[in-house]
Amino acid sequence: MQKTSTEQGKSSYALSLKEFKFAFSTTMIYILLSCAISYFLGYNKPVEEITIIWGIPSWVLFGVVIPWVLMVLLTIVYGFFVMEGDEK
Amino acid sequence: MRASPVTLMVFVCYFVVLIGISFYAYYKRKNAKNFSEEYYVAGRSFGPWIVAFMWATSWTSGGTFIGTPAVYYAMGWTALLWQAGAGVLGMIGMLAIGRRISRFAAEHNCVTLPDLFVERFQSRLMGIIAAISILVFGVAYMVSQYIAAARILETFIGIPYMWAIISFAVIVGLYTTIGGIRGVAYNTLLQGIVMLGGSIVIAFIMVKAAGGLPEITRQLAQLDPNLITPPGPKNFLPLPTAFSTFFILGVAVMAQPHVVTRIFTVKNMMSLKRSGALISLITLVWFMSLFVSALAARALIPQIDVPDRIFPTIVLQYTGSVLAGILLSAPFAAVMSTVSSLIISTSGAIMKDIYQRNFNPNASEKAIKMTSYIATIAISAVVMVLSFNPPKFLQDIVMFAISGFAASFTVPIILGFFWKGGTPMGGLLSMISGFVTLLVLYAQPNPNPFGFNPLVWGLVVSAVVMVVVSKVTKPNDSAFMEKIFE
Repeated sequence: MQKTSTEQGKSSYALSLKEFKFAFSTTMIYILLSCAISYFLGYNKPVEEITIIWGIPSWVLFGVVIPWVLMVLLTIVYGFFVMEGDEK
Repeated sequence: MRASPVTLMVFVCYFVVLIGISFYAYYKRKNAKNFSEEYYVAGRSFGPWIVAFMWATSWTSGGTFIGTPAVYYAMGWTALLWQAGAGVLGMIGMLAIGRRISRFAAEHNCVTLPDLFVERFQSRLMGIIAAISILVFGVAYMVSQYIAAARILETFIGIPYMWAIISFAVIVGLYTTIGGIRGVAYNTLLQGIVMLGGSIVIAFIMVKAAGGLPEITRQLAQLDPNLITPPGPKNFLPLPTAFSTFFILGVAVMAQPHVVTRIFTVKNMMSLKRSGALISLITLVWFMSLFVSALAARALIPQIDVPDRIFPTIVLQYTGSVLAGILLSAPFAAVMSTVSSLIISTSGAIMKDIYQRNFNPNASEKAIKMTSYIATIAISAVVMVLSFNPPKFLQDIVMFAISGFAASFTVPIILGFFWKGGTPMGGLLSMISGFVTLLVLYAQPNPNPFGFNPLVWGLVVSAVVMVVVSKVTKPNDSAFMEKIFE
């Protein structure tokens, strides 16, 4: 892989450490949030208490679908617009 | 259920195209200056789309179209929480470690995962142990994939099992050997598009046939309320298991040897960043599409004898014959891309990590070439022979292999490359202890203390061992450490 000029200005290691910390913490937050929301909205509730929104049980919508989609959007924004060293 | 002649013809044409692509890659490779750089990492020249598809198709396997839809089908909505670890694939598998790993690999001429450890920790022993584990578990993993492919050929086309295995082995071995990683890459791009497009198409067809998502959910609730509420039928996914599964089906990806090495093929930072974003998008569309298809299938076909057959069944029952031929190729595409990535990884382990580094450091270009070819063919042959008499609990061995890779390699990758304190002994013992923890727990009557999977415990033990041992053992040469952490 070729070096980029942005990276030659800063340290490649410093940049990669920053990226790792961001990615690792967002990953852990995603996992904990998804489990927590699913737990409070879905676990140990009788089926009558579960509301269905657009055909999706609410605990799945708020605990899985929305966090997952947000995580993908975050990955796209971070990958395309935030990470440095963009030169070809 | 058998496929129609038109379906079969489309299916066969698909393989002819794949072999053709491999020959094209072979001609592109013939004039390469450095054989192993080209054969294993394609001269580090790939752009975002190829990397993203190769990465995604290496991670997802035949199971994605065979075993996974069966889980969705059997467990209903809770299975989406089971799958949700996939949300982190692009972030943790590519963006988190991509810059560090790809730069380090390029600067130290690494072409395999063990190479990374040898160069970082300056420990040849670590390289050998990593290579042996890749070889053993990689072969087990591949056998399961061969069997999955042969089962489909056997069930839907009526080829006897033995011949199904042989023909499958010949096709995959041929196209991997001829094309090298570049052939695998071009094929994967085509196969990735088939898999992605196929999942979207089948999702539309199935949801429409079942009368829309609200209707599907209503039907499921009538069949069994557990299909709507967690933890699902038969106490499928208690919360600690859900938490652990995020690691097995998400975080573990950063330590799979055949996936990590995809990062080595990246051309530049731009490709790397884009491919990370693409991976997350592709896998989202992919899993969601397959998920709603399987839910619709449950509403339409409430009973099936072998849940593993649900995907091929809906393809043959609900799509036209040409489309069915293309869609049936999807599980094959998944199997083939995973198997060929694994063949390249395991033959790399033999050629580079065992033969070249320990027996013949000054091997000529020609010798390397011959060893690589022989290793590739030999592994294909061994896997073929092992597949003739499949062991009974194969799927367990495979889950064990994925967890085994993750338990041994995750911590040495994270703490080896992002923490200056890691020592060679710390790296070696963290790799071994993570793996041994997994092994010991799997041997217990209750392998999940407090409900958490052995992998979670393996990662914890491996991290603690890494830190503690590194504090009390001799670090690498300080000038060297300065250089790689500057």
